[in-house]
Amino acid sequence: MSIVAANRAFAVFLTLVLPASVHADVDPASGLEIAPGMEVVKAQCGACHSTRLVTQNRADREGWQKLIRWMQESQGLWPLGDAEPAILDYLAANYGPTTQGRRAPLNVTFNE
Amino acid sequence: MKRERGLHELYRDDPARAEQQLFGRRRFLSHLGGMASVLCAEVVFGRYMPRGLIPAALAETTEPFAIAGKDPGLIVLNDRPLNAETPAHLLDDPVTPANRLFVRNNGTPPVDVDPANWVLTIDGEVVDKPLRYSLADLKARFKAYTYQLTIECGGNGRSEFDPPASGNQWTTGAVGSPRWTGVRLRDVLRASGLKDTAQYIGYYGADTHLSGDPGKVPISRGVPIAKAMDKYSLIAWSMNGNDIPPLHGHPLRVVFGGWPASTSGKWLTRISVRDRVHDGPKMGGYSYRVPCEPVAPGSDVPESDMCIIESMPVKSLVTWPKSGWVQTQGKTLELRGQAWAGDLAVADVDVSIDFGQTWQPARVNKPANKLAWQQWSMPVEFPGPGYYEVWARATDTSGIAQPMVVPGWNPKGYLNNATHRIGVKVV
Repeated sequence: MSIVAANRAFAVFLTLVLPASVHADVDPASGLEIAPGMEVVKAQCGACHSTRLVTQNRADREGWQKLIRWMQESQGLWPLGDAEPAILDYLAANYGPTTQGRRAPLNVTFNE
Repeated sequence: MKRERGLHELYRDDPARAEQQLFGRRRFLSHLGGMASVLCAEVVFGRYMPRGLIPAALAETTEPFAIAGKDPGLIVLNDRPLNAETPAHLLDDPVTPANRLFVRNNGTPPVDVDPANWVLTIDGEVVDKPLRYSLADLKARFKAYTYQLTIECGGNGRSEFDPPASGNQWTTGAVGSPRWTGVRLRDVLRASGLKDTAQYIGYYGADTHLSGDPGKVPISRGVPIAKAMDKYSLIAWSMNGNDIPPLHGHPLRVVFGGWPASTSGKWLTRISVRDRVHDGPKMGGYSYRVPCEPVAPGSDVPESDMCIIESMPVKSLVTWPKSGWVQTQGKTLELRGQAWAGDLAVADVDVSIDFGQTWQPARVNKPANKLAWQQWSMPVEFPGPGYYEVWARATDTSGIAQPMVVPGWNPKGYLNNATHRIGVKVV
């Protein structure tokens, strides 16, 4: 079977991406929580790595700042300037630490 | 017949052509223009994105994400760099097939790999004159060996640490045990004029840094000379009888069974024989290192108190049944799984169906060779209807067993070898 032509593929892509959100509070393109500061996080953090690396992690403001410093010292992240407080506010508010104790209960779905 | 195909399907079937369709013929340079117009933003490092990966900004739809050549059951944790883990029930094969081996990348894999012109350089402080080997040289000059070697990401199990540790949130699936074919690293090192001052080896690969900076090495780790000289330490070109797949290091990688998989460098271009502990990126700081002394959860540990992880701890999985199994009362359930123990072997696997109050010994197979994981099995009958958890606990040949809760907290969340648990309902 032949692959559809370029403009056709692009149309497919648009239909996939644009109405894709089933989670009203999450940005469908990045998976980030929709809240003040999201756009700057999407642009600055998503430039080098997937925003999935953001959404799967949890830390307080200080913890996120440490990660930013580590990326700046060793991974080539640029100075964030005025964007940094907005990024930290967003991350701490939306991806703050969770407590699961020494062993969390199993999350089981039974195939009944 | 023509039909519409989604982005993921296009990429799964023919990534290179999918990119051409989306972005035009000159794949990555044209991404810059193509993606910028799609996203209304500049894609800073677009030209360094590897062939075959869906551009992240486009990929994050609610459609399932599939990786070419991989079982669709793999869980993608991160798509730039690509990291994906294998659910326990898909690790049931005695020898892990290529499509079920976890993917852990630190950088961007090389594109347009040409095995015919691939060169491995051996250099370092204790090598007088750097030596260069083609793949053909390696195959012609040294004897080839095939071993089944278990590799596990140092951060496998990270998701359970509290306070949370940063990085890819692996659950249990960053482990596998394929069969590798290659030459012994020690044969190559000896032929390169190894001296007594050799302390460590460090690898370098052809992957590139995520930032796109060609001067930055994404990862360059290694092992002490004793592990390098172990007869099971390979420079491998084959996995399960085929060329190593592109995501796993084609055409050449090192494999150090039982050690953090980050020591088994992919797309291998250089091995440096060092007169000191190798100091490449991700050897220092908090990477692949844990506090030398146990610390309280959440402690601020200075870098000077961190020690490099060597052999991985004893661990096991229940690979059959899948968690969520519904069992008919009165029937026997044949449990089975895998167990491994870093540089050691597994002596025992015990199974509990009563939350650790009593344990029954499982049958444990001998490993195919040293550093291969071992299959265990046990028939179990449940005493009555209700909710059960099956816990598996392996013990290594030195008598060390897996803990039932998450072991010592460490800043980056390494070495969680707590017992695997699955849920079973008996009706």
